[in-house]
Amino acid sequence: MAQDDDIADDVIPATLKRSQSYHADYGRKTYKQIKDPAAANPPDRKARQMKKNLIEQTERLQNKGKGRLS
Amino acid sequence: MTVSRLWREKDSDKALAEVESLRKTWPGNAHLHILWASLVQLQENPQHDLDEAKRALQQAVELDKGSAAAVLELGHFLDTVEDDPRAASKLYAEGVSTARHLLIDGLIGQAKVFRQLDQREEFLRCLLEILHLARFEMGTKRTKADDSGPDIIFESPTGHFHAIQLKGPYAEQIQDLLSAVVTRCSA
Repeated sequence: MAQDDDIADDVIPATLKRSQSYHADYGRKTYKQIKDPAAANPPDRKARQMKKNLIEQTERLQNKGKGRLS
Repeated sequence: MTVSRLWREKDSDKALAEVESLRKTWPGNAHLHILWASLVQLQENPQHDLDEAKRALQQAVELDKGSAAAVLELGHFLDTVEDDPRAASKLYAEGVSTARHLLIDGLIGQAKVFRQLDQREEFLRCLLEILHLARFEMGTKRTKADDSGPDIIFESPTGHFHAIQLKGPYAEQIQDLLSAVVTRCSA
């Protein structure tokens, strides 16, 4: 699970950085600096995409190795 | 399994090499295409691009049409990587429905086994879960003309009443399971 002080670029793998959901100008932000504007009303579009990329895909794929394959 | 261990250790490069070798041996195995696409996305030294990962997922969907795993994985990809929730929602709906069918199928088998073994509490637990899941399947097939009230009213051991319309692919099997516990039927 990503921690609030994790840097986005340290968490998102290089391949997923090629995704159109990835925004290099948000890469040096911490998870907290991304998730707060992503949850705002209205949400920051780039932050929302980065959060989806950072949390929902990277973590989900990493967790697949712990569960479904063992 | 080596792939599992490497994945757990976050060595996605070696895990990918392992899966690529397996994929050459079993090119028609949809699960290997899903694993490959997943590992490609986790690469720190990318040797493949995201379009290749997407194609592998689409191939997995084609290879295993009755499986929820490939459809759901492609849904995740479209939503998170391509930021296309509209396209993803169609795939999630398809995947959830397929997975629900599989789960109902498994629960029906399990309920039958518990009934044979006289494990009534476990049997009822399965039956309640089947009724809960099957309600969604049956509900989608209901028309206005069908809306004439439930076929069966089932009282659970906790005293709750469940009103069910027995239609759809599981009606006969559910009817059979309910015969052990039904307290009242209406025509």
